[in-house]
Amino acid sequence: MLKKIILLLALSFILIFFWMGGEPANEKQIQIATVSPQLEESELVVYTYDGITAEWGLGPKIFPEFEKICDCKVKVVAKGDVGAIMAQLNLEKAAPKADIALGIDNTFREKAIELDLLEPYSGKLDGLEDGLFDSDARFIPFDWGYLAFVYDSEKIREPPKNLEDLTDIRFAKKIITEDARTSSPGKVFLYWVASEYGEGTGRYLERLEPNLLTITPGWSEAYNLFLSGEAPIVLSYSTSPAYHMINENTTRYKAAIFEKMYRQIEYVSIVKGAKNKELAEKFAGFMISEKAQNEIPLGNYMYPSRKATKLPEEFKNLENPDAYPEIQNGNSYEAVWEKVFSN
Amino acid sequence: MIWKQIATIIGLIIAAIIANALGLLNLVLNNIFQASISALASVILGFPLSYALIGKGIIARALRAFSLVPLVLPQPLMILSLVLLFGANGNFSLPFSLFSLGGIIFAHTLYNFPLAARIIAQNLGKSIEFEKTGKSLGANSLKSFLQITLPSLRGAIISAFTVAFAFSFTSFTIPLVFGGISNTTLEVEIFRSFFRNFEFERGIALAILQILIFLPVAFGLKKIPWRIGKEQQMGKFGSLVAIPYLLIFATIFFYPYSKIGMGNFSVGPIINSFLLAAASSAICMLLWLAISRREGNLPLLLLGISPAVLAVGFFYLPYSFYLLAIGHAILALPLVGIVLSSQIESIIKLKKTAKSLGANRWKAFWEIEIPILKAPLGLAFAFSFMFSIGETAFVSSLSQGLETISTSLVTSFSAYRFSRGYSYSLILMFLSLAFSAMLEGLNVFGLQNKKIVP
Repeated sequence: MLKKIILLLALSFILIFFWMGGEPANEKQIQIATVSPQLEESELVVYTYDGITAEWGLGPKIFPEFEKICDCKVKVVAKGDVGAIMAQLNLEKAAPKADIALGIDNTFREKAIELDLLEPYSGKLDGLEDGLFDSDARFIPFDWGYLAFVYDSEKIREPPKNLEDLTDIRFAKKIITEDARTSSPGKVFLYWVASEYGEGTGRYLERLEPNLLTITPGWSEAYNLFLSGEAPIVLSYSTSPAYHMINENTTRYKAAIFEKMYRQIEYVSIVKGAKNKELAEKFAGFMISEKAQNEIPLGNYMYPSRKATKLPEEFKNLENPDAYPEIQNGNSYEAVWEKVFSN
Repeated sequence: MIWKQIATIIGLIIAAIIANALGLLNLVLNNIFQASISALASVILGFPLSYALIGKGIIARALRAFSLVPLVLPQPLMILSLVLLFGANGNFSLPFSLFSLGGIIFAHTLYNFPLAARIIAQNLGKSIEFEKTGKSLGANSLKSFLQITLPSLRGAIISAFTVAFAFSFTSFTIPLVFGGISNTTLEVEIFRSFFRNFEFERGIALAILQILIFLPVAFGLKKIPWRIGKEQQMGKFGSLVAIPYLLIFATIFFYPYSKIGMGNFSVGPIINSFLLAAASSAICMLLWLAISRREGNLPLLLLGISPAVLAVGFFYLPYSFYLLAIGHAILALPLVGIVLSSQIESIIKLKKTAKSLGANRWKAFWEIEIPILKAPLGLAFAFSFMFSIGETAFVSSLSQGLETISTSLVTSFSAYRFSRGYSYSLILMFLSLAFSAMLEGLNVFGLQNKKIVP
C-alpha cells in the first residue's frame, strides 16, 4: 500500500511541476506582471519589502500603473524587510541585478552610503514636504511618518507629553518599545532620545527602563502585545490611529503628540550600476508623482511625501507636532542601549 | 572513536576563542544556560505525554496529531497564545512574570515538549515491554522504571533533549519578547551582523561559532536504538495523563481564537506552502538516503545553521523555487537524521543478503529499505513537511515574492492585518492536524502491530 502511495505521490508531484512550469502559484507576479515583451532592456527589477507587495499594499496599486506608462515589465523581488534587501544588494554589488531599491529608510541611510549601494536620481524634485529631501539625490523620499507613542485612551487618561513623561512612575511597566538593534522604529526612537539627551542618553534609558514592559524585536510583536492589552502604550506611528478609525471605526487608540517628534522616511533609490538606469529614473520620478502619492495613505498607512496630495479625512484629523527635527545618526548609541537594557 | 572526542574538544576551544574575541562569551554562556533549562523542562513535561502517545484509540491519535503542531506554529503565534492565556488580561496566572527568564523557559517548554514527547514515544513501546518482563520477574514498578525503562530510553531522551536544546538555543523572537535584550541569543547577533550591520565576516564567524557549539551533539550523540513496539492499550499512567495533555494542547492552540477575530485569506499561499513542503520533504529524504551510509551524525551539525544564515549563503546561487526547497531540506535534515538514524546498519546487512541472493540495487531498495523504513520514514517525512510549512525566515530572506502561509501570516501582522494573520495561523494548525491524521490513517507512524527487524 505504502509503495503505491509513494509512487502516486511522486507521479502527481512531477505532473504538477511540469504543468506549472516548475514555478508555484505566485500571486504577486500574477498581479503585477503584464504581457509586455520579454526584452531584457524593458524589464525594471525592483527590490522591496513584502509589506509593499501584499495584496492590500502599495505594490498592486502602483506597479501596474507604472507598467502602463513605461511600456515595460516590472519584476518585483520582495524580501522580508529592508535589511534583507540591503544584504542582497551588498552581495550583488559587483554585478547588480536590481535597478531600484524601494523602502530603504532613514535608519538604514548611513549604512547604504557607507556600502556605496546607490546612485543619484537626476530628475526634478519639487513639491515635496519640507525637510524630507536634503540634496542627496540617492534618497528620494516617497513616504514618511512620525514615530509616536500610541496609547489606549480607555486605560490612559493623561497621556505622556514628552520623552521625560515616559519615565514617570505612573507608566511603570506600561510601555512596549522595539529593539533599536533589530527594528527601524526602535532605532528612530534611540536616535530621538540621543538627539534630545546627547551624552545623557544612557541615564535617560536607565530611568525609562522600569516603565518598559518589554522590548520586542519588531513592530508587529510590539503592536500585537499592545492590542492584546499587555500594556497601554506602544511605540508606533502617529498614523496608527487612522488605521483603527478607517478599518475598525474606533477612536480608542490615539497617538501621544510631543512638542518634537522624529520621522521615519522611506526612499525610492536607484541601485548603483543598475542595468536599466533610464527606467529606474522614470520609476523614481513616478513614485513621487501625484498618481503614486495618492495611493500612499491607504496603501502604506504613512504620509505621502508630495505636499499637495489629498489625504483621507481620518488622516486630516490626526494631530501633528510643532517641530520635527532631522534625524541625526545615533548609531554610536546602540552600545549604550545594549548596555542599559542587558543588565 | 578518539578522533571524535579530540575534534569536539578542539572545536569547543575554537568556539570559546571566537566568542571571547567577539566579546560574546557571556552571551553564549547565557544562551546555553537558557536553552539547557528549556530543553530539560521540555523533556520532563514531555515524558509523561509519551506514555499517552503510544496508545490506541482516538485520544492517542489526537495527541499524536497535536504533537506535530508546534513544528508549524510560528513563534509570534505561540507568544500571542501565551499572552492571551497568562498575560495581564489572561485567564491563568503564573508564579513568575511572563516577561522574564522564567517566561522564556516557560514558552520554550510549551513549544518543544510535544516534539520531545514524540521522539521519546517512538522508542517507548519496547521499553515498556522490557519493564513488564521486569515486573513479572518480581521487580516493583519504581525499580522496573528506574532500572529498565529509563536506561533503555537513554538514547531517545538525549535525542529529545538535543532537539529541544537546538530549538531553544537558536530561538529568536521568544527570548527578546519575553526576556528583552538581556536574553539575546546568538541567533539575534547573527541576524544583526548580516541584516542590520552588514558585517559579513562577523556574521560568518558567528555562524561558524554556532555550528561549533553543536559539535558535541554531532559527535557525541549515539544513534538512537529504534525500537518499535506494538501499539498498545494506553496504560494506566497514559490514560491518566492523556486528557490533561489534550486540554493543554486545545487550550494553547485554539483558545486564543475565541478571543480574537478571523479575517479573510488567500488560497495561493496554501498551494505554495504545500508544493514547497512536498518538494523539500522529498529532497530531504533523498539527501538522508544519500548520506546515511556515512558513519556518525554529522548532519546534526546542521542544527547550528540558522535559516537566515543559510539564506545568505544561497544569495550567491541563481534563485528558483527549487532553491527554497533545497534550503528547507537542508534545514530539516537534522530532524530527519534524528528520527531515521538507527535503521541503517540493519538495512546494509539485509541489502547485502538480498544482493547475494540476486536482487539488484533497485529491488533491494524497494523490497527491503522502504518496508524497513516505513515507520520512521513516515514520521521523518511528517517532521520535514511540517518544518517547511511553518518556516518563515529562510523563505522571506531568500524568496523573490513567493507567498507561503507562514510568510503571509508575518506580512499580515506587519501591516495591522492581525485577524488575517490569525486566519493563516489557524490554517497552519488545521493543515498540520489534517496531515498528521492522514499519516495516522496510512498507519505510517510506526506504532502498528508489526515488529520491525532490529
